[in-house]
Amino acid sequence: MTLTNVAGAERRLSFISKTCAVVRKDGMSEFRTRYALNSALLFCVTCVFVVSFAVKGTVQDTRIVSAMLWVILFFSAMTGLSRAFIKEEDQGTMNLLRLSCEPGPLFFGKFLVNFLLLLAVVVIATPLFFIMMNVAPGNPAFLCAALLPASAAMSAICTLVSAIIAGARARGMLFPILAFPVLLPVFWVAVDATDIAMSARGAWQHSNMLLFLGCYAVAGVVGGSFLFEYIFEE
Amino acid sequence: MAENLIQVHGIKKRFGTHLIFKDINMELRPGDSRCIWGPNGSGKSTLLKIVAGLLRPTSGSVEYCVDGACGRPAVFRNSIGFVAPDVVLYGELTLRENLDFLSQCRGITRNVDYENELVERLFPEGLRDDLVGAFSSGMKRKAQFIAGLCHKPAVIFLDEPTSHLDEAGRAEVANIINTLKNDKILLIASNDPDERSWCGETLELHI
Repeated sequence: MTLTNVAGAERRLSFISKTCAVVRKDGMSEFRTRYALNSALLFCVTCVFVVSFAVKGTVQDTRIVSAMLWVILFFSAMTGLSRAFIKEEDQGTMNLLRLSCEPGPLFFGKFLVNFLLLLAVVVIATPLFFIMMNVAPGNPAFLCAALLPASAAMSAICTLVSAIIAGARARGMLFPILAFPVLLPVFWVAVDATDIAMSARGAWQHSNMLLFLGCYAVAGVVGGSFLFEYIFEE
Repeated sequence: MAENLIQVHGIKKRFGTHLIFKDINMELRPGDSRCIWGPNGSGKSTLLKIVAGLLRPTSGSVEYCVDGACGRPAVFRNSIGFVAPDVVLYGELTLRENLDFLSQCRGITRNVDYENELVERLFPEGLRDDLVGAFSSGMKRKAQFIAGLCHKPAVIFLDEPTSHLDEAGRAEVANIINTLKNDKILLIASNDPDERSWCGETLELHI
């Protein structure tokens, strides 16, 4: 092993341990306050019930059902994921982070926390939604394969937008306005993929949609971490 | 070994149309201690944040040279200790958990002996594992001190360091700073004559 390889491996290890520190800190903080998870879950579950009681099981069009699911997940994400950096700014801990954390591991750690949070919401809300709407996806594996990268993409974009607006005044209004245009491609493809997952056969022929969602998630994380460096240092 | 150095060239800061200060030049070396002195609103805390890399100046530059390498303050964040009212610890974590998180973020091994020494000096009555959010304002300030100094930084920035502290706390902080300042760069923003007396030089700002 050359010296360059050793230095590279050390840098990667250091990046991972710093990222883990951010995840552990946010996890511990969330475990003690349960603010973000509770607000996103409560919002999501309430929406599921409101929608299901409004349509009373009459909607069988898979396209409409898919769209309703993603509208609920989108606004749940807006409720819970915006707190990643807004919370730091409100608590006054942003300067502490600037003085001790490198931007790369911080962004990646915050993205992971948001991703886990959104996954928890998706895991609870999606089955509940299908039960309440009285429909069943024909291809649950394809649905899961679409939900995973779409959630990752949403988490990455929401983490970056949260950092951008953290210092602004009308943050509650700005967050969905700024996040929506960037999330629109994810939203479109995720609705299409969910619609396809509703039919039992032929869903995997559309795996290019999953590829798109995966690439968007990777682009969101990589692009976000580069942009975050400029946002982070004032 | 190359000497550590902070060079501040022609710093100017403007908030909107309001000019806070201009033409600030400084060169700080280990052993230098300077107090930024001036009335409220003269930009003491702003200047401290600019030199620490927490705020961008409107014009001018700040350069650090540490162990032979030179660059922006952000590159040398592990060499900076910053204690200020707006550098807050996590209220939902204990002090130990905060210190653990900070050392992991900095990528350094925790110096538990030094941490314990600081805790014993600043919390002589003992420190329970309470959440920082449950601390009084004076205890929070002491905790900020420990978090700002526990990694033995080469450069120490203090913004009104003894505000909210009782007599014993003020005396202990003064002792700690007087011990540390001999081989470190110390920059204090203050209105307090006692804190001014810790420093060798004064930089006066005017409104």
